[in-house]
Amino acid sequence: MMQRFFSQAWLNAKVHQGGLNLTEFLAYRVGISISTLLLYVLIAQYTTEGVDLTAWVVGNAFALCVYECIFNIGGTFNAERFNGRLRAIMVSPTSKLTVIMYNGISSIVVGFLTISAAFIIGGLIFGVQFSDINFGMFVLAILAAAFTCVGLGLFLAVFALITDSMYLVLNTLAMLLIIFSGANFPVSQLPVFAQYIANIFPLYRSVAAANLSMGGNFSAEFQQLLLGEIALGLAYYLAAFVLIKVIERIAIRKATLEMF
Amino acid sequence: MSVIEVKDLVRDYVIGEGLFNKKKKVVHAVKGISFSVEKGEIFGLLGQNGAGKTTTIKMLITMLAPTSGICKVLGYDTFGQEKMIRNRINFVFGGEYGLYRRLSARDNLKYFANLYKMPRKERDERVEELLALVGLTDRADTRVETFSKGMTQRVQIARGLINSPEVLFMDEPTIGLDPLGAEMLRETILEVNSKGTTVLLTTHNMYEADELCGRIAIIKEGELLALDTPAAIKGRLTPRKAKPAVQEEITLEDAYIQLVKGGDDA
Amino acid sequence: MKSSSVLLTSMLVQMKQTFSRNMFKFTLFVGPFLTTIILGEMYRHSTADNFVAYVVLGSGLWSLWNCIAFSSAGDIHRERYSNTLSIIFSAPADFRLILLGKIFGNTVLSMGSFFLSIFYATLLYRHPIIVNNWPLLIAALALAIVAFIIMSIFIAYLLTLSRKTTIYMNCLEIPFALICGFVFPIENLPQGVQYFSWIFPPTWAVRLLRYSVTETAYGFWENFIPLVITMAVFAVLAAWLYRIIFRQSKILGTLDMA
Repeated sequence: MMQRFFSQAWLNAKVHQGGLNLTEFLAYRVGISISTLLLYVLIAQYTTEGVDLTAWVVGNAFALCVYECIFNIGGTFNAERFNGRLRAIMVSPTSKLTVIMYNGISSIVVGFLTISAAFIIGGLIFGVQFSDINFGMFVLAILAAAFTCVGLGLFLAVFALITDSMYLVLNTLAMLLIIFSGANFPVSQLPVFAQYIANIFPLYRSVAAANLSMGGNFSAEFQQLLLGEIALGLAYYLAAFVLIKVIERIAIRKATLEMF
Repeated sequence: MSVIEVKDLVRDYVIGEGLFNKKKKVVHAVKGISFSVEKGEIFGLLGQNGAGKTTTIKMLITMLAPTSGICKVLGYDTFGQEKMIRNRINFVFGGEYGLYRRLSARDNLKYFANLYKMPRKERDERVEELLALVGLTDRADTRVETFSKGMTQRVQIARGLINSPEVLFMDEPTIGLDPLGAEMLRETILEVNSKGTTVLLTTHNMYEADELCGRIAIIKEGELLALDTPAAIKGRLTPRKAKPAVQEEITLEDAYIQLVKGGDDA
Repeated sequence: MKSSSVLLTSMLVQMKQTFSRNMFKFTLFVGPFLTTIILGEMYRHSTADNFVAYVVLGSGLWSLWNCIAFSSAGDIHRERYSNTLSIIFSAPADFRLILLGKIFGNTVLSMGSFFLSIFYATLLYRHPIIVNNWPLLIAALALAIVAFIIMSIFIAYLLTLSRKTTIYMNCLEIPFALICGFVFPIENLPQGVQYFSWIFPPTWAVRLLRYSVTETAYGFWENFIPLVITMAVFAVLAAWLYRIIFRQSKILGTLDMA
């Protein structure tokens, strides 16, 4: 079973990256990631008049999860529908959640690489003190963020079976994720109701945890943030698991798989 | 027991119209058709564009729920008991979409085989077998995006056969193929059928339907017009409607046109 | 068909098609709102001048650029995907007019996102919007739009040459906002990058707009002259590019999917 899973993940990776040569891959994945990080950190540099920018570099590197997890994983069925493959997938006996995960694995690997690259390059440009980082904690924070973002991606992907407005949904959520992550400004600046909403978004806790890993120790606060992030992730996986069964049936009933 | 059992099958679509205030409009795509297909048959479903053929097939392959009526495949309801059916059926739709264009033919087949949870050894053997069946062994490692229409369609057929289905649904599988390609496809259908696979197929090519199908159902605007063997359907053609030149040999096409144009006097 | 009617038909078809797409609804309505929030919060503790220049105008310009560039580039992709690119390319009507019509159509719609951004910023932050020179602001805005259109044409032509349109399209959004100083002054960039910014007309258009708001930031002529020059250069480049793509796309066969 594991063998099949990785075989599928590898074939999916070929589909995604297969159309690109190395230059295009670098321009597309790494280039966009780094320029996004640069844009926000540069705004921060300008507005704060150049205080320590580490928090922005960390936050925005994490926020790059958005592109792989939201757009790639969340857009799985959208892409399959666009290419007329959705019916073959729906009619097969494999669980549809597994199909999204097949697609997700390559996203996670690519996401991890681009985030690391963006963090290192951004860190070098903006003078992050790499020696201050507790790498164990930092990696844990990244893994927790990735876990939860993938969960959100899965959860969102399910809705593609009943709506043709996925681009709207995904783009809106991607930007909300950046707003609520606290990567660019403290969430406490937002109205109170918005601060509550931030709690159910991935990254809010893991970005805070990552910032604690700068010269920090494995404190109770760090552990709490990390566990909170993982619990949130689990909630998304569970929701996706329950929803897919319901939504698949609605889609078959309402004919939304292919016709709008 | 029939392999496919359809009774009083109805499917309506609700469509929103207008840019802002979407008005709901109900389209009756299938209006109570009934037929059954026996094991080992090649059954043809004929009709004009928009007659309800594809909707019927979608209901049969568990992609669409019937609005009302009975829709059973292999003795199970296609909506509600999908799990009992999905492993045992497959489908081929015409056209060039539906494959991973950036993957090779072999990788495509491996991917879809994995969706049917086949063990690796069995999968690899099956993929080679199918590549040979559709004559693509030499081009197996070339990306599908470089294939001609005919070659792409052959990959589609192989994909449809990946799980050795007991029932194969084909929606206009020869659409857009050149005569040789269509001929090859017909041979493949006959070969698959000779091994016991039941086939339900839709086509606009009457010659093809006549050559392949044991029985034919003709539907028009969601309703069943005729259901019989090609010979019997041709036999129903009234002589005055047969063109003088072809009077000696009435084709299925003549019979079809008469039926569809003037359903009442047929 | 007369040129004007080709232009008008293309423009109207474009607007109709675009408006029915969900993605455009995001770019037009939702995107500007969320961008305004991000910029507004980041600039919350900055000066009033900065707020108007980089939040109000910044989010407006960013949205405008996204709308114009994305739709124009996306159109090439869509036309290719639905196999209509080769049809419009080989139609007797001038391809340039058809494309220009599309871009005009996008521009008219995109103006909506520009004004919405300004509306959102005013509504959310209730910051007084002080403009030093209104006539100049309007003139500068018109020039900025022309600059964006010229860039769009240039980019759209470039994209006809490649099948991987979506990839390059996505590569355009952020780098341009970064280099052309939509949301912070280019002086904040390293000197080497600033030379690069000077090449593109939007950089000068943005500075001129900012001048009309604050009048302290930059001088008028220092920005107006480079703007006109860079616009002329890109217009000539676009015309030249058209001659090339007309040949190359036939040689490379990039007009349709197959």
